[in-house]
Amino acid sequence: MKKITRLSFLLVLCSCFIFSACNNAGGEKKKAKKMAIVVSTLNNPWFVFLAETAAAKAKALGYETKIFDSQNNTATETDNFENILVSDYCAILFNPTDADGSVANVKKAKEAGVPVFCMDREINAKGLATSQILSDGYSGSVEIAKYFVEVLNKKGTYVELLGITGDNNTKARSAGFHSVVDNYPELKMVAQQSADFDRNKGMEVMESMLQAHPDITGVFCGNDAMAMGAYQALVGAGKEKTVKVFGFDGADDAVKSIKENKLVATGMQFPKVMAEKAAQFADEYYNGKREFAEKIPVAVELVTAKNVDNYIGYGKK
Amino acid sequence: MNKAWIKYIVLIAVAGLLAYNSVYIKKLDTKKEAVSTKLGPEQFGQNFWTTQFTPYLDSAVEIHVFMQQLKADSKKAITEYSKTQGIGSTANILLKGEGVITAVNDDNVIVSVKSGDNTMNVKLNTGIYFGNAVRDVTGKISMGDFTNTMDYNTVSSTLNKIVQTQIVQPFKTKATKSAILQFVGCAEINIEQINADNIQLLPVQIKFK
Repeated sequence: MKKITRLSFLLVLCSCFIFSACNNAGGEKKKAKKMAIVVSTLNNPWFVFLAETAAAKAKALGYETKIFDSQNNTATETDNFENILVSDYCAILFNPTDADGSVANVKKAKEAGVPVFCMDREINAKGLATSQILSDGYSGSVEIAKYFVEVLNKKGTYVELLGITGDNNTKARSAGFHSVVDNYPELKMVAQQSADFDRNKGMEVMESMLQAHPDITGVFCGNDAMAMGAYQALVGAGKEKTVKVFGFDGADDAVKSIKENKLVATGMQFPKVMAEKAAQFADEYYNGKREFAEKIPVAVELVTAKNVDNYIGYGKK
Repeated sequence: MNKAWIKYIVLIAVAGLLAYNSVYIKKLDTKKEAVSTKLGPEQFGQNFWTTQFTPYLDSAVEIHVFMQQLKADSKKAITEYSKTQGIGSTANILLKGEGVITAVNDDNVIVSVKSGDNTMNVKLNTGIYFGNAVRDVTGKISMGDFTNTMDYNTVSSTLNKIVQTQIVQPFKTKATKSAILQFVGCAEINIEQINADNIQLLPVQIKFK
């Protein structure tokens, strides 16, 4: 009887120990009110706006902030994460460089107990980022493509400038565009090449495409920086009136160019919405909330000469 | 402390540790995602059409009821009947009705729907459809169900292909003026610019009488 009593006492004691261990696993040391903002590049005004908006919102919520530039390089991104993880940041507002290549960095942050909130671009993993607030690039490109078909009157030859090849946004925008345009057999794509989302590369690629295909009537670019570069190349070749240029992003210069009838259309993403939502989520996390939708699509809207007056760079008026 | 005590403590600690590391609790969402990944997005879309979308047709709202409420209080009608995805201005609603075909055009069929003393013209689109209304109208699929967003997009295009081949094409072939039919269709409504007089539907079920 004595033995049984002793055994029962020990069982209760161990249960308490196990439950307390379970609870401790979920317990976290409160970190400093500092948010890190990591962006794929600061060499593109769109990402500068995304980073600065996230930082401004975080500051308004009472956090110190620092912006880290990954220079479109996953190795630099890894260095940034390593610095962040030893510097007592409470959250990372993250614009990944590569959907697959950035997964390891987010995993490290999660293991270190630092929540990551992705902005605009996704990582190809579930259960690592606390939330991913993503532009619905595929549906946005579908809308651009429908207008592209209408403007080109369902026929002619065109070229496509792709973004960075490893990025899911590049794939989504191109796939959305082709899901529509490929249904029209008289619309033929004669060249497709990456210009890395870069304005100068966009101009160079367009120049060489024009030499090989001087009779094109349309160009679809995976972002506005490349579209602006392509337009410059067309001006140089004296073809800016005959070739219709379509971009994607809703950058300030692209919106102005649509007003001036230089570009035909762009897809308005909402970097302000994404950046502010990420900072807001990080603040809610800091204050104890743990349940977030893992991925949230943010709609992209078609901007043309017909409705451009409703928009400014990076958003609505 | 005698030897027996030490033995019990060690035994129970080991048992406790084993039990703690043997039980993992996962969310049901994770299980659902695993299924979608395992099937591949096309197969997932086909299964979804059969097992989830088709039974959901019974929950379609009578078009007259919806239009009356939309005109009276658009916000309330949208909140009550529609499904939205993420942050944006598109609301998706499944509507049903019965009427007479009054015109057959290249990319649409016009149906005159009567309810009491009221008659309204409904445009059923029969052109190629590129949107996400079929994927999004039930609210049962979310982007977070997929590791890669392209799979989420592929599900949508798979569902659109099913609608195109199984519903829209046969409907286009059979549609004639004066024919009477029952329809269920998906409507996409821009909640920032509601135009109650120009509701267009993508037909997802057609029954001729």
